[in-house]
Amino acid sequence: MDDVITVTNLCKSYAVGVTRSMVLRDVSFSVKRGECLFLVGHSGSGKTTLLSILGCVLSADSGAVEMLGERVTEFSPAEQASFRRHRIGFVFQRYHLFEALNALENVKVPLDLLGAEPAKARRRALELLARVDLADKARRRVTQLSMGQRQRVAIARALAADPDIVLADEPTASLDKTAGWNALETLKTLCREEGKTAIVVTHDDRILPLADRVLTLADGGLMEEPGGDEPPSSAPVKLKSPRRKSIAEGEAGES
Amino acid sequence: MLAFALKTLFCDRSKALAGSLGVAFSLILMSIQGGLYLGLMQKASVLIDYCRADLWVGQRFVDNVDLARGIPEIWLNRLRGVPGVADVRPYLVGKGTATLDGGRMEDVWIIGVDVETGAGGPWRFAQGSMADLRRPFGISFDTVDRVKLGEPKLGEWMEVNGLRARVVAQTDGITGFITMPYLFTNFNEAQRLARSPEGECSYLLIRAEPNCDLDQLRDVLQRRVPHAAVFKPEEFAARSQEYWMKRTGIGISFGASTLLGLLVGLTVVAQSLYALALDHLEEYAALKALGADDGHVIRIIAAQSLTIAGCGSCLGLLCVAAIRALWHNPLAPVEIPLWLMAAAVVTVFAICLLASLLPFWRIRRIDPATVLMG
Ligand SMILES: Nc1ncnc2c1ncn2[C@@H]1O[C@H](COP(=O)(O)OP(=O)(O)OP(=O)(O)O)[C@@H](O)[C@H]1O
Ligand SMILES: [Mg+2]
Repeated sequence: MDDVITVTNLCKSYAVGVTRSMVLRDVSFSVKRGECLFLVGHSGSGKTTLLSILGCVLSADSGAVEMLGERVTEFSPAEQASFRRHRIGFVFQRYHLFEALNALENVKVPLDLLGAEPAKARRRALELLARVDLADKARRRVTQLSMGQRQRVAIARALAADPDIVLADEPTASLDKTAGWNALETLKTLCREEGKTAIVVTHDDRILPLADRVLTLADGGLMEEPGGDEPPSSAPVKLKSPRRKSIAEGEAGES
Repeated sequence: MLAFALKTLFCDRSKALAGSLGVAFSLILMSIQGGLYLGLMQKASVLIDYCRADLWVGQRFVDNVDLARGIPEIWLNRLRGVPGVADVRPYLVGKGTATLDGGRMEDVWIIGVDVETGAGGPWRFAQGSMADLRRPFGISFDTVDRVKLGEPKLGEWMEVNGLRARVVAQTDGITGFITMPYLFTNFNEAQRLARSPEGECSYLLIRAEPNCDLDQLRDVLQRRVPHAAVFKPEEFAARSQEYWMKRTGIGISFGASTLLGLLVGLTVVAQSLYALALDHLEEYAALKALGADDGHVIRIIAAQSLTIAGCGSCLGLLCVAAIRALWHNPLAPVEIPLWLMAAAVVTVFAICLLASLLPFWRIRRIDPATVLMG
C-alpha cells in the first residue's frame, strides 16, 4: 500500500517571550492509504500542533510534509485552503458545527464550499446522515441534538466532500464512554468503507483498540506503540451494529 | 453557502432588524431630501411647466422665468405667419408692491396672461375662473399667500403699485421659488399695474402647429428675432432651475444632508454586520478550516448585506409611498418620481455592499488554526 502522508524531519517551535519553545523536533513518519492512525501523548506534547500542520492550517519551521503527492509545507494560504477543501475532512474536539443550521445543512457545508450541485449535495448529505444513524434528525437544528449526535453530524460533515484524509482532534473528549466509542467506531467504519486515511489525536485510552497503529508523541519526538489489535491490511475491522452492541454490553458488564 | 449566510443572519433578528432600519432610514432620508429638492426646483419653473406654450421667446440674457426683462411686443408680428407657428401671445411677468391694511407692504409678481387662449394662465382655481380675469381691474391671489396678503376676499379692492385692483379669483397652490405671491390678471391690466413701458412684454408664447418639429421651428424663429432668445419649455425650465441652484447653493445643502443620511445608514449597516460577524467568529474560523477562502467569505457577507438592503428597502419604500400619498404642502412640495426611488434603492444597495467590507476585513484576519489550537 502506498504512503498517503510522509512527514520528514518536521520541526515546529513557538515564540514564548524572547525565547522559543521547541514542540516538534525532527518528527518523521508516514501513513498508508486507508490506515487509521492514533496519535497519543501527554498534554502539551504537540499532538494538536502536528495535526494542525497536517491539516494545512499551521506552517512548520522546517522539514517537509508530503500529502497525496503534494508538498503541502510549501503551499500558499490560498493553496492550503483549496487543499483543505478538496482533500481533508476535519472533526474538531468541540465539533464546531454551525448553530443556525440543521444537521443536513451542516453536513452539506463542505459540498457547498466546493460548489457542488445542490441536489447532489443533499443526496450525499442525507446518505451520510443515514450512515451515522441520524436520518430522522436531518432537519433538527444542531443545538437540539445531544453531544454524541452532534459529533456524529461532525463526522458526517468531515466525510461529505469525499476527502482523502480525515483528521480528528480529540473527537471523543466531550463524550461519555459509550458515545465516544460509538462516534469513533462510526468514524472508523466510514473511513474504512470509503477508503479514507484517518489520523485521530486522543487522550482517550478507551478507544485505543480501534486504532490500526498508535504513535506516541513525547519530548518533541515520536515513538511507535503496538496499538490496535490487528494490522490495517490483514483483516478489515468488523464494525457493524452487532459488534457495537456487544461492546456496549461489555461496558455494562465491566462497570 | 446561502443557507449559512441567511440563517446566521436571521438567527439574530435584532441585528438584522437594526441593519434594515438603518437602510430604511437612509432610503427615506434620500427620497425625502431628493423629493424636497425636486419640489423646490419645480417651483423655480412652475410658470413654464404649466403654461402649455410650445416655445418661449424672451430677452436675450434672461436666465430665470421670474426675473424677466422687457422685449418689444411688436416682435409678435415677426413671428406670426412663420410656417409652423399656430399662434403667438404676449406674456408679462412684472414686479409690484401691494399695499395692505395698516400700510404694510408686500412684494408681488404681476402675471399678465392671454385670457382669450388661456396661454400662461393659472391652472388651478379655488374660486373664480379664467373668465373672471377678463374683468377690468380683476386680479387673482393664491391660497398659500392668503395670510401674506392680509386675507383678501373676492370682490375686495387691493392697492398694487399705487393703483387699484380687484380680487376676482383665487388660485390654489401656485407658488414660485422665492414665494413672492403670483397675482394673475389679463395682459393689459398687468401692463397697467406693473407700470411696464408701453409696447413692452416679458415673453412671447408660441403655440406650434401640430406635428411640427420644435427644434427646427426654434431655429427658424431665432433667425427671425436675433436679439431674443427662443427656448423650448424644458430648456427654459432647466435654465431657470439652474439659476437658483447656482445662486443659492441649495444643491450643496441638500446634497450634504443626503450624504449625512447615507453615512448614518452605512454606519448602522456596517455596525450590524460587524457585530454579527463578531458573534460568529468561531464559526467563520471553522468555515475557513473547512477550506473557505476569501471568495466564500465575501459571498456570505454580501448575501447578508444584500438581504438587509432588500428588507430595509421594502420598509423604506413603504414609508416613502405613504409620505408621497399623504404629504401635500405647496410651499414645500415633495416630488418623488419613480426614478428617484429607484436611484435611492440602488444607492442603499451599494452602501450595504460597502458596509460589508468591515466584517469581511475582520473575518479575513481569522486564523483557521484557532479552531484546533483553541
Ligand atoms: N500559539 C502558541 N504559542 C505558544 N505556545 C504554544 C502555542 N500553541 C501551543 N503552544 C505550546 O505548544 C505545546 C504543544 O501544544 P499542543 O496544543 O500541540 O499540545 P497537545 O499535545 O495538543 O496538548 P493537549 O493534549 O493538552 O491538547 C504546548 O506546550 C503549548 O503550550
Ligand atoms: Mg491538543
